[in-house]
Amino acid sequence: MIEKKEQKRIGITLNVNGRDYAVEVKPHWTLLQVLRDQLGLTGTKYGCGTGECGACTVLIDGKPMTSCLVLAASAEGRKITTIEGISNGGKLHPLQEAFIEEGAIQCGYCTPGMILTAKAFLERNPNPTEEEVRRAIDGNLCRCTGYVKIVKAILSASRKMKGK
Amino acid sequence: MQNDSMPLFRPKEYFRVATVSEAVGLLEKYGDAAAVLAGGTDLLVTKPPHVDYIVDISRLPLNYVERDGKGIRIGALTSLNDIAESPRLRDEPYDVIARASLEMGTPLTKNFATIGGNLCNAAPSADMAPPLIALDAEARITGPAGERKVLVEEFFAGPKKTVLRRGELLTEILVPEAPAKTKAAFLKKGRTSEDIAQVNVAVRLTVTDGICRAARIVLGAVAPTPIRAKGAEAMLEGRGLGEMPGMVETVSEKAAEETKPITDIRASAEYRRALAKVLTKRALMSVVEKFGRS
Amino acid sequence: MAHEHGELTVVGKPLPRRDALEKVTGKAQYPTDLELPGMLYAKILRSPYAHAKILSIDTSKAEAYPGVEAVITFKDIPDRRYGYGLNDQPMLARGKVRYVGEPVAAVAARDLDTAEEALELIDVKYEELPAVYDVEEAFKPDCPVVIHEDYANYELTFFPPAKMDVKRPNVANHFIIRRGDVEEGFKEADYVLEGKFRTPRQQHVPMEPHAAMARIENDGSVTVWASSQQPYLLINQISTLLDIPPSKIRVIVPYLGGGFGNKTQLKAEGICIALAQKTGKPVKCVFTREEVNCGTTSRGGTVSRIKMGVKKDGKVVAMECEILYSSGAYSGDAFVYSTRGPFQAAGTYKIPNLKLDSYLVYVNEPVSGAFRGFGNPELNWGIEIMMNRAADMIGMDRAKFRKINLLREGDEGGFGEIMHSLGTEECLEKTLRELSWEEELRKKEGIWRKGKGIAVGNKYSIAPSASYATVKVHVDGTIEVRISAIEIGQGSTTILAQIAAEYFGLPLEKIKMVVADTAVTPFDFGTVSSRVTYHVGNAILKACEGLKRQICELAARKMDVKPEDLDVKGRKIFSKHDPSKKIGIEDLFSPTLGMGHIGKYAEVGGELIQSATFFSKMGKMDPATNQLLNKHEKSCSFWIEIANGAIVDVDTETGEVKVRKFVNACDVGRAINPMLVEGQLDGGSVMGIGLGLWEEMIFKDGRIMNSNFIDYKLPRASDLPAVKDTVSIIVETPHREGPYGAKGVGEATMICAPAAIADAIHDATGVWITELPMTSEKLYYLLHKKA
Repeated sequence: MIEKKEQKRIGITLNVNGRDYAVEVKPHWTLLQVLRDQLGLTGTKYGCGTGECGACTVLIDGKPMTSCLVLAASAEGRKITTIEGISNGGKLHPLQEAFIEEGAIQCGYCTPGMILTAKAFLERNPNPTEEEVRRAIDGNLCRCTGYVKIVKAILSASRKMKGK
Repeated sequence: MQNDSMPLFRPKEYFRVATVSEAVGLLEKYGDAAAVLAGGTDLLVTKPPHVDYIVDISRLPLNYVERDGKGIRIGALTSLNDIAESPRLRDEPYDVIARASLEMGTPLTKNFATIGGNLCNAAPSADMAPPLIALDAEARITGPAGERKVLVEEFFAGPKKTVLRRGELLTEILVPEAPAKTKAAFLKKGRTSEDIAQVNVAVRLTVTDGICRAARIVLGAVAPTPIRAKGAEAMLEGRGLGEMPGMVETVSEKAAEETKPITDIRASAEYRRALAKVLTKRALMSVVEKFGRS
Repeated sequence: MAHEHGELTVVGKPLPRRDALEKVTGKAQYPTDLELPGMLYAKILRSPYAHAKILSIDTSKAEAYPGVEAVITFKDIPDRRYGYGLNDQPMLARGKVRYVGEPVAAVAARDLDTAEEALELIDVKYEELPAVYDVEEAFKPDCPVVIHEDYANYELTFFPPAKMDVKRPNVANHFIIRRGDVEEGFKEADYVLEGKFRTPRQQHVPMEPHAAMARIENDGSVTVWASSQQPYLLINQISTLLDIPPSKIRVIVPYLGGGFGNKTQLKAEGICIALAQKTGKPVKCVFTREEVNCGTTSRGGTVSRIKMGVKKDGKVVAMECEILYSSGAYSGDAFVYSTRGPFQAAGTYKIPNLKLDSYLVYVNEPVSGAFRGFGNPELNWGIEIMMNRAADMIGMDRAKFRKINLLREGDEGGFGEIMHSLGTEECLEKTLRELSWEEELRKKEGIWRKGKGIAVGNKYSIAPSASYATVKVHVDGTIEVRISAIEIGQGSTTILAQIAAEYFGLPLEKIKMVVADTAVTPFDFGTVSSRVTYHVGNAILKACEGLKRQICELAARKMDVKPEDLDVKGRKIFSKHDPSKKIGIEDLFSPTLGMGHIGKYAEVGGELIQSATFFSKMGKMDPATNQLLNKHEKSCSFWIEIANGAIVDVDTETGEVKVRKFVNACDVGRAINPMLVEGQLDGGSVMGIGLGLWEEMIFKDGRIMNSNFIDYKLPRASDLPAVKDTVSIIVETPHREGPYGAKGVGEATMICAPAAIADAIHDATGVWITELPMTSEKLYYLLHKKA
């Protein structure tokens, strides 16, 4: 009988969408898999596992990052926001509204990551040019929309957000 | 894809260190079986099977860009996005460092990817290396035997190999105060806008009284490590700024000849040599133009 | 089908899609998100060799590994094969492996880590065999490598059956078109030109990888949640491979994170079911991105030779095409697409003399499958470059040259049918206007050169094919539509709801869609071939007609009129002669009294529910020529016509190409939802740009070298033109048989993008690229060709 390699589990607390979760993780587990498999937050998606596609984007201390390249153990003590955490008590974020209105969603798989990236971006750059929007979403791949309506939605949301 | 003979990434233990000496202690204890976790953007892509111990240094206070009389000190854990946006890297020629980080990775991974990680990963295409080498930067290393400094130019030993010894940690990069009238440029060519470099280059000129006192032409992805095209540099040193436009063709040709590129799925050796010439030419012209504007 | 309608209130409106809210909040469930209590995780062991004999498989160590509940190999499943045209592919390799990535064994374990570790413990001994990778090599009669030695014994499953060439042991099929006499045509021509073209193997890259989850029910029947664009095909394949009657297989397909044809064939489903049977527990398998690249289908490479004869006046008088389609190691959808790709030569231009030979060739590479365009983009690549070269040769403007040769309404197409609903000219005109075609571009000197290019193409939709739809009335007047069309992102659920809503004059919210659960939703050929709007839309309309009749019959009893005198609109049933005489739909139902209120019911007739078939026929063809025997019959359901235009900047020192403007004009018959159609066009443009400029699967000894996104380069937002320069144009030439005149759009969006870009590059630099992708390195060599 082949023995399993001894891996020391780590008890950590993850702060996700304002709540604390106590979980036990193996050293090699990524934040992506812990969010999905242990916390049941499946809005964050697996697309490539190598940080290239952005489907797994979450906000970590407000900064967008591919969670497939973050070790779960290392994410302790950081504020993590997933797509499930951005509608305010059932009221959609202006970006979510804009995506719906502009037709920026097709299969929807890139959408959570795209929205989180855009949210962080617009908070830092509330008045962007189209070129700046495109550069901001360079880390989020979309195969359905060609980015056209996504860029329009982000620009539309920026106008909405300024109006507030 | 899955391959019978490739074992899996299953580290035994994870440590999160609070001090540099803690990190050094663990790295010395475990040697090659330990891996440093900074931003995670290389470690979690390669997932090396031989790693048993993860040493998470991401909480160490090595995230800064400071300027003092000696020059600019960049903490090894400074993220690439922080470098791109740092107000202390706006002045010439240090802006070439920010420029390089803009051309790297994706806007997402650069929130975590660090300058130290990029250097320690030691890919021949590392984008941070050419601008740092062009500005004569030094790497500050802390290890069991204390601190030492190594020129970034001498930091790389081969593809994915550095000169770090057992237990050593890269803690800081020091970019010495550039002599007056130094300007630099960085160019990179990938297959798409977000890519590992097929070729990258940094060119730096220090010019006083219209004469070039120091030239650096540093190329990446064309040799086992980033290299200086010293023959091409020698052609520029001692020449007048006015002569440069007429020389770019031969200088860049020489730089290309000094490269030793390989053929891989990203580019052929011949294309790399051609790109080395074109990018060197363009970067050199760009620096000459910067002098023209000032 | 011919459908009369007044002013449209729902169809033709850019309504927000129905699934937008759940997708934008992260609540939408995809196959990768599903789980069941007690579920096991499966991983597949894949061949590391392109061609090898399996000498032995030892699973004992894996089986003994803590946490592993089952390991299966070919020994655990019936000796069956599946495929297209010929059944040549086993679910798990038997005796031999024929491509790197072929499934050899599978493990089910209590967690994913354990499953991955257990794979390492399966010991397979191989004897490597020589392999063949190049489609021209494999095509040769004396090719030393024979991939399917016993293919003469394979079961043939198609009509007409596979035409294997005993002289060429790796050719699985041969499809021809013979129209007129090409030799005479070439004699008549003033110029004859030839070209050779290549396209590489390319990957769909749906953002969501494939996943499947299977559960064995207490009565032995199977429920499988699948990444499947064709649930009824999947039932068939599972039934064949695992000896389970189709009526005992239930397929459920939630939202898919992209399809593009990548999810048409069995992948993980059969393996999950076999493991679930062995363990008695639910089993889930999720592919890694690397597995999607090597373990699922991709568009195989092609080599084509085209010879064209043109006259000085601009008429194309003859065209000869030979195209080799790489099937990969087995016959998947490529069997069909090697017979449908040739439609590209038949649907755009009036070519009186046409000779086409299409071959399906085995090589030791992953299996080729349906990919948006289904063999058409590969042939369009060569044809359009030849059209541009021909125009050049006779000194005629490329747009004018095309207009001279376009098929128009009523002309005979390449299969001999009378063509209907061809908006090609309008697509082309609008594209030319967007490009300011008449204006010469400056910047033809210096390092950066600018160029403009165009290309034209078509996409047929496959016949014969069939769809069912079932529609039902709820007591509150809601119309429920049950269909098996898959929501892969294209918006099918929304536009089909719009069609039903329009029919009954209801707002969209009063339509309930029940989608893709074969326990409830009826037969459908599949979400493929741009067919859903037309076929499922028509099936819904037919079912709605039947439902209207049933409603009217029931209402007639209550209203004491004849059913023929009644009509239904909104939630009212009213007399055609006296519209004030009406009842509401709710009035059809009687309340349950006496025993307490258990709800309402119809006193006669049972449920108000109707089901209909819409079947699209293909006319009989002469097997010697593939020409229709009756020109009033059809070779396919309909043709979508397309024009693309591109403006590029080329860096002549590095070969880098930047697309500055891209135009995609498509004749869709009618846009049921213009916003969704635009979305398809936008996406198709960008996919086309990616496939044209950067994408290729690179192999070394049959092994893919770029299985992740680090090296399989996809276009990112910064690589593309601005929003205002990505122009999507909807052209509508209604189809007399389409629902409200609609045809389709999905694949048409990326038929001719690469050719348009190649034309623009030629305009900028004078260089013709004939091999995809048009990487900067390739263009660099062409520009700097050394003697």
